[in-house]
Amino acid sequence: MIAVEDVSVSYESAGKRVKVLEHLHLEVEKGAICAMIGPSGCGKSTLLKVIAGLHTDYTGNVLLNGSVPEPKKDRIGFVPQQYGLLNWATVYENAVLGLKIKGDALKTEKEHISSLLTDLGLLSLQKKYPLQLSGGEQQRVAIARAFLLKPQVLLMDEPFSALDAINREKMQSIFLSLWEKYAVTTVFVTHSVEEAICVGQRIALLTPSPGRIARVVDNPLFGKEELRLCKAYYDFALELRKMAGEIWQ
Amino acid sequence: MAMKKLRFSGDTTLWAFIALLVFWYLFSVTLKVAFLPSPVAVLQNIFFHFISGGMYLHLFASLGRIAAGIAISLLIGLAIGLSMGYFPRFDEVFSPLVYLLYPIPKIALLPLVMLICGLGEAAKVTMIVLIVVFQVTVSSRDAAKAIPQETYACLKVLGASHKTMFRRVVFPATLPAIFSSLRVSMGTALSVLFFTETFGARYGMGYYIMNSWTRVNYVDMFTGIVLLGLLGYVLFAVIDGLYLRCCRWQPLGEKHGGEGVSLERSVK
Ligand SMILES: Nc1ncnc2c1ncn2[C@@H]1O[C@H](COP(=O)(O)OP(=O)(O)O)[C@@H](O)[C@H]1O
Ligand SMILES: [Mg+2]
Repeated sequence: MIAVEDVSVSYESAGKRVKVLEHLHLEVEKGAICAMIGPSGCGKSTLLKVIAGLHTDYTGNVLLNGSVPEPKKDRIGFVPQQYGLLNWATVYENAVLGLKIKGDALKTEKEHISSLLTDLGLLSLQKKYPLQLSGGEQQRVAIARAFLLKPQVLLMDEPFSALDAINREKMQSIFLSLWEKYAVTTVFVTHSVEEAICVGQRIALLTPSPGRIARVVDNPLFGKEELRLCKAYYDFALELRKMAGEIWQ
Repeated sequence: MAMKKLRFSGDTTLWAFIALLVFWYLFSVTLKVAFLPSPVAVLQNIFFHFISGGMYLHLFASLGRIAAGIAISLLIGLAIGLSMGYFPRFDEVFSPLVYLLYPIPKIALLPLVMLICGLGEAAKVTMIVLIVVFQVTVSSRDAAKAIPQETYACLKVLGASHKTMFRRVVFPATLPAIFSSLRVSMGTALSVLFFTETFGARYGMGYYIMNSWTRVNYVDMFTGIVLLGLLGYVLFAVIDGLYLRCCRWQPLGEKHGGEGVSLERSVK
């Protein structure tokens, strides 16, 4: 479970302290997935860094399964927008990086690794380097790394926003099937209302900077098959847009 | 199988070499001066020396000094430069120091170095190190600084230690830049080497060339010059070969530091 209680963050810039997050509350149940939308610059990435334990200069409380996040001890899956791959390591090395750093024996994970690489269509690309891959393929490697870790929490920072529409939809469904399989507590940041409907059981709307959670909406359409063929999907998207418009204006 | 083509591909090198010899030959027959012998005589002399083995001592003496100088410079330069690029505090402390010492003409320190290290190998290697180490330090620092924070974040979130960061991020990310600074350094090191070998040396290409000159043996002198050139050529080829081997991950055609290699590949 992820619990963010009354968290405020400010950055020092040009001698001034600029508030980025203000009294933010968020709770994601164990095994649940929460989508998060907010205007750019409202502090979404900052919030993920706080949850991941990368940014420790905050006030308030952040608890992962009841304790303060510690990258050295916790298993945190993190997928940034720009994939975050090591360009000098092969697809395979990138995928197992988390396991290696955690000191897991790759031998015992062999089946897990090859089944995940198969699910993500990466089996034939194992020996390639990231810069030889398309954006979609690189993103799949990043996702492979995150899931191979068997993470307690998964933090996705606009992971598909660099992909074209067709690849994005493909990745969303691949991601969702993996998420179901692993049942991992997830925060999924996106700037697309449609994507939020697709991947979020609940959808949190953030205010413009300094970021707070303005509303959390339950998503009745989560997990529905052939989502994009439903009228309800477009109605709900419109409704969310209106809500967001009111908050962000 | 993918075959990599270097700038040093066999045929172009051969043509360049032949063109150079032809020009040299034409000059030597038109000028007809003693200090420009015919390349034929020089090549014969080289061949003779290789058979008799008289040249190896000089070649290996020079090679050893270059290798030691470059190795020590890399060790020190990378340790300091990469640390400066990775730890901001380290950079704050060392940058002023590096900027202060870098512009001092190190050749001017030769007498001092000789006083401290004596006339032997230590002085020669020290001179190479003094000159090359700054280039390595500054370029490796800049390359390490250019690594985006996001790359670090992805490993930090996995709980990576500083040691892991250096091994998996800092070092491999800066390797292309290290290679291009190595190329620059190699050129510098060769000229410094020549200079130091003209003082208090019994062996080495620099010594051989200057000694031939005082003996007014121009064929020997040019033999030395040609061999020094070939030594440089081989060293550059080795660096480029290693570069292609170690930096396979770089996209085709992308060059780092603009030096030398083009990563042309022909699929066979
Ligand atoms: N390291 C930093 N130092 C100073 N300001 C920062 C830093 N990181 C982010 N910011 C500022 O904080 C605000 C929120 O950034 P971010 O969390 O990346 O927003 P989002 O991901 O929602 O677009 C932005 O205005 C950004 O300029
Ligand atoms: Mg962001």
